[in-house]
Amino acid sequence: MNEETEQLLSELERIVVERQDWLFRFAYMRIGVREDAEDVVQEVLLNVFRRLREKMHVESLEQYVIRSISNACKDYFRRRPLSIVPLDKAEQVPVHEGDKQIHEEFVRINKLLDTLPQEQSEIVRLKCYDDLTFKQIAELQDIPEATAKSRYRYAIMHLKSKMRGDS
Amino acid sequence: MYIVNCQIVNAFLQHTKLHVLNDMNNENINIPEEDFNEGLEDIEQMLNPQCEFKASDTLKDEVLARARQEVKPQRKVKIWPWVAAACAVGFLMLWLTPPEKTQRDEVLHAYLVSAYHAKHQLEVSNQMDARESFEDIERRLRIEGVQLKEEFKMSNQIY
Repeated sequence: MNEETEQLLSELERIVVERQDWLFRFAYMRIGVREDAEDVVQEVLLNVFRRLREKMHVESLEQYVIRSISNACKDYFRRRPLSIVPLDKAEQVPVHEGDKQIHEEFVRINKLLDTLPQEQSEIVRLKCYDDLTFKQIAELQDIPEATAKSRYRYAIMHLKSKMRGDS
Repeated sequence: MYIVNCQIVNAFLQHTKLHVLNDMNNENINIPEEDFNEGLEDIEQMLNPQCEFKASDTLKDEVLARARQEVKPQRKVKIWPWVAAACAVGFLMLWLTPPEKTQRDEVLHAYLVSAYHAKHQLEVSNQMDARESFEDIERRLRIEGVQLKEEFKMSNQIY
């Protein structure tokens, strides 16, 4: 293996160490199954490696990674529509002992956002859970930044009114 | 004048389109600021991650192993022509191999062999019968010799 390849591999290792937990959280919060979420993360990281290897022009690696994981999750649901579990049955899905906490978190957030339209719930997830800026969200969703902000505001108002109603 | 008109039409269309899109998304952009900010922190706090998400310890190694596999030089020799050739040879062997002998074939073969030998022996014995024995030849030559001797004697008497 030549020196250039070794450099690429060490660069990939750095990205994996920095990003793997964030990517896993992103995928898990949408998929809800550890094995599948990790498969998606692996594919995304390998795509990043291929990009680095082919020296393809990437304006911002950060934005590329975010777009890749988002597209990979969408593809997952497109490929496996039969494996989607309804939210009310998600709590009964068997999980490993170590994954109970994150699975409860997955169910909690998805129940909270369940009453929102899909495009609004996704923006809330991206903003609050994945810690993205409105600019990044707008680029990812191919919408103007103002639309991303207004959808977020509407979602928050909706959640607030729902909580008031519950209490 | 025409350009100005086009700009006005475009602006109108843009405005209409935005309204339609906003209606479709059921969005209300004019949410009062004070209403929005009230309790915002609590809701955002509630929507933030409440626990740590850790990927498996093996994930990094698996990704690096797969990346290493991708950069490894690929085999130059293709295996499928050899597989195809082996299949062709197998087919030809099956095609050319004679079928196994059955008991009936063996009986028939034995019968044919014995018939051939019997026929051959008959021919040999016929040939043996047709051949002159040594005694016959000797007898014939002796007779011929006697005849010659007498002819010689007779010719001498004449001359």
